[in-house]
Amino acid sequence: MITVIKIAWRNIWRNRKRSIIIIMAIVFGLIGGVFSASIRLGAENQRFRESVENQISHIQIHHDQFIANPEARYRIPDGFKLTDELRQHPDIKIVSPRTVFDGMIATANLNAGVRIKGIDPEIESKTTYLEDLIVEGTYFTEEGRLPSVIVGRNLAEDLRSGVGSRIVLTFQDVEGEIVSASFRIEGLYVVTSKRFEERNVFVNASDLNGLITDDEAVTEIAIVLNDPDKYRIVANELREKYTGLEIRHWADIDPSLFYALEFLERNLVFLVGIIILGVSFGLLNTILMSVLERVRELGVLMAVGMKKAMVFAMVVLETTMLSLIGGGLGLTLSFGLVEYLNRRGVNLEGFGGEGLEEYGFASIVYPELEPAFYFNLGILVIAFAIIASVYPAWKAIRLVPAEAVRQE
Amino acid sequence: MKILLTLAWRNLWRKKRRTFITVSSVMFAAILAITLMSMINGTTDQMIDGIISNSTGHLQVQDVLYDEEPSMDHALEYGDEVKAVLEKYSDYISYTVPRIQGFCLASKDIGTRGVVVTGIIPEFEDRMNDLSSRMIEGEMFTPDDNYAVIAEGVATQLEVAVGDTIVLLGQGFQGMTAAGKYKVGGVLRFTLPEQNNRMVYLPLREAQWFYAAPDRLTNLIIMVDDARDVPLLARNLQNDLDGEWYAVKTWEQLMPDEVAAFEARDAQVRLFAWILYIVVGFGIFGTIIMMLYERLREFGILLSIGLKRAQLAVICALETLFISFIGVLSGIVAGFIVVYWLYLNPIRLTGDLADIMLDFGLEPIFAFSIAPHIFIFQGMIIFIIALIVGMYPVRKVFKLDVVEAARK
Amino acid sequence: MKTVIKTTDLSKVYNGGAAEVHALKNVSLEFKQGEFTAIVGPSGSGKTTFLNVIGGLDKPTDGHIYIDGVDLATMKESKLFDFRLRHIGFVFQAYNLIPVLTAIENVSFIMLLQKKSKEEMERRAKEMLEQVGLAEKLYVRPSQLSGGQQQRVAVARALASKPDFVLADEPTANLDTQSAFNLLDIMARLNKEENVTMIFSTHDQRVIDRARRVIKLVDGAVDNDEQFDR
Repeated sequence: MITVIKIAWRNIWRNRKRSIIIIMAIVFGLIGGVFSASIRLGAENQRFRESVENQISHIQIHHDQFIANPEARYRIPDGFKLTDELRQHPDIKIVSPRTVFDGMIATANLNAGVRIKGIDPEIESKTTYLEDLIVEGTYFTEEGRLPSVIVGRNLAEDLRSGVGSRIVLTFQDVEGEIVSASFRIEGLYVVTSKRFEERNVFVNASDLNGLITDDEAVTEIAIVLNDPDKYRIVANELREKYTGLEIRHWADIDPSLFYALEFLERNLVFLVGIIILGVSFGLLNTILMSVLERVRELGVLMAVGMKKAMVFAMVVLETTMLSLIGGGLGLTLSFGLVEYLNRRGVNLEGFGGEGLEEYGFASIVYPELEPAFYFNLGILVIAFAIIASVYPAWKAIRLVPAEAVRQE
Repeated sequence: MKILLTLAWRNLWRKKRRTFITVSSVMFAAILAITLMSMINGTTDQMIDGIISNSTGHLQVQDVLYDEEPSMDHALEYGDEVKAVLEKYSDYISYTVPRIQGFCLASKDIGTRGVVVTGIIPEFEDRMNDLSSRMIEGEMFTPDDNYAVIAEGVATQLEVAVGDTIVLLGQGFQGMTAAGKYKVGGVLRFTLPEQNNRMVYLPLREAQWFYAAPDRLTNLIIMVDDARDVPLLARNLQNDLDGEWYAVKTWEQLMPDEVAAFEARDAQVRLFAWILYIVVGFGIFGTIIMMLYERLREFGILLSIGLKRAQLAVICALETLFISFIGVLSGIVAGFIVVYWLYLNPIRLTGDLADIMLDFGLEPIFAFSIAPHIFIFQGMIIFIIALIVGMYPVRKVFKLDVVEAARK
Repeated sequence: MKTVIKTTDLSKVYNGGAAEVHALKNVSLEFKQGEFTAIVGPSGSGKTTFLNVIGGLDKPTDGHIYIDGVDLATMKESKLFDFRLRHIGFVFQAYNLIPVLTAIENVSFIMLLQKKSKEEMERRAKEMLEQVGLAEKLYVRPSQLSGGQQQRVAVARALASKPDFVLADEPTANLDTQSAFNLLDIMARLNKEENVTMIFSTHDQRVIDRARRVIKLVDGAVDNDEQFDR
């Protein structure tokens, strides 16, 4: 056996060109597979961030009347106590208590119905990353005469106003009395949904709570989980524990978004699968060709007395060694590539992503990949290489040596 | 020249297994590219169809002011002029869905809700999105009935059951008051909360009477057979309709958010297509390069007995051409079989995604497209890739060392 | 007799890594029309290199090869191809027929490249195959011929285009005794009938015994050059 390994190893070096081509085929195949899979995951997480985390959060809690009547009077009983309780939950990362209700925004001439969201700026920047979404102006840093409001860029355009403009918010306080107050637009934000931009304005919760005459008011609790995939489990758990409240996860809140995201993600899994099939076929053909070319050489070995089993073992061993070298090299290179691109980003503009920024879609994708994927793809490619070598090796040893020698 | 053609052609048949492997590497590339694109196009069409039939339709004719200010005052006159223009393009139009809709208050006893009251012709709504299948109680009205069908959320909030009567109050055409008492004849269940909590339907004629707007519509939805006709049809309709009164809008203009989301997806998916092209290109390259090493001796002999390098290059180029052509052609045939099978037996989706899609009235599958342009275009791309890669041996011929090659 | 090939101070050095290999050392020889010459010598004595160089397949490091007064050593590659095609016929140890062509197509091949007319080509190819005793095998592919038959096709191919001389590198090395004699008979007869110069490298005594001139190379230099009257 040692002899066979030795011969196999020497053969690899003797046919250096052929070995390099097979190694290259494996390396490029791995890079292609890893790259596409990392783009998929990177884009998936990015899309989730843009459409779920920046707008909805994983789970929301409301008073059970609030959904039908988004008014200040439907507060969550003991909202801050509940907030503290939730913060103890091991799966929960961030809990953002908010004072939210519907109202009107008005400039001198124009007005619109909006949802007014009273937030704690510091917590909110960790919840929806609102601070990062500001494209103009600043994020609750100014101490002006008027309290600050952050509005969507699209809404600001509709209202023909901008950073620094004075606007009036009108809403009902906890008793149902109409309240109006002036705010100054401090910043404009952009998200992927124009409708969200038109419908949602953010103010400091403490400003709002003073106006609705309840300093302890909480009408909405937004929850960010440590593991976003657990949203259904955690929501169900909370539903059982807090029966009087309306507890919904993001897919309940926006089923069409759930459909769009989930459908695309499953779609991409198939596309990655097709690319990996392409990698596998390319490798299979290259190796088949390389062993077919060697029928004569193998015939000579058998003619001089090498046992068939040994010839077979030798061919399979050679391919295994090559695929181990190629696999190691390919995985290292593709790991480096993903790490590098993860920092730098892949610009999709050349592929028709122009002008998406305007809609809040990043046209730059940051590829990322779970470590398990490298392992699985590596195994797959090596397995394919070995399978591809078994057929011609088997074919070769079935030839009568004389016949094989005569083959050109 | 003829002898070169003969040589190239006979070379292909002499080493059948070698040719078969090379052809199959091109063939698989074509199959995979076709499958990838068929899936991308199929699912894109599927998503667009779904979103179109559940919301805006392919095209809408509206009053020019309706988009800016969607009030009943900006309902369009659906008279002989519009009908004549539609008749002119009836070849492109599958059917039309007339709607009149406005914001109203619905009340029963002391409960009051803001609702959207829409006048419809059930036959056309069913054709567009199978509205009647959402009925969970009662019966859909006919055009001559005068009862209402309401969404489940409205029924719950107003505590109405089938057989009860509700009062609708809103703004009619040109300042008229719209008021009416309607029996509830059925309850519909929608997936999207904003529909489930707001929709009230009346027969079109009854709604026109209710809004004091006989023969008027707020939206005239036009559905086409082939979505690719939309831009041209929109232009033609707009040209023929009086631009002072009528505005023709495509679904792309009506849903810019969704269009942007599709473009974001498209950019990414196109990147995947490129990765596939590169991966299969390398696969073909590996196969061809292996074949080349096997044939260096043969090349050396031809050159030493007097064949010119240019003539040998022509032979190589012809072989590449044959292989690419046969490979792509068989790839298109095999790709068609694969895709057609997937078209007839699409991939079924399961789990929460399938439930949501069924709720939206969509079939929970991955649809594959069998549009002819996919086969032609992908076939051409793979053909070009194979030709480019196959030029490597041609170039190699010019650098070959005759003595060394003939000795191998 | 007219001189067909003349070499002066022909040298060939291979840079085989660390050591330089002097495959040919100052070889100056003349070959006259109609000669039947064997180049002999032990393995590695430079026989094949000598044939490759005078056949224009390889370039000498130094010296000149004059064929019809033209120097091959300084000829551009594109011209060399043409020159070989018109003036030199080759026979190789491993037959080197084009596997996808029939016997008659293989023999016609060079003439085809020379753009001879179809009738002439066919007549000449048939004539040559008859000459080598393969009139029955015109439309058979090489894989269906024996080694001796294949080599006879190769000889027919080399001579069909009426070259100035034929170079044969170990033509009998792969043949059994009967086939070897058979081939040599044919070559000797054609040498006389067509009056074409034939030079072959060999270490086969059967071949040496038939040659009218035997040149012995040792370590790339001419060791002995004898004429026999046979």
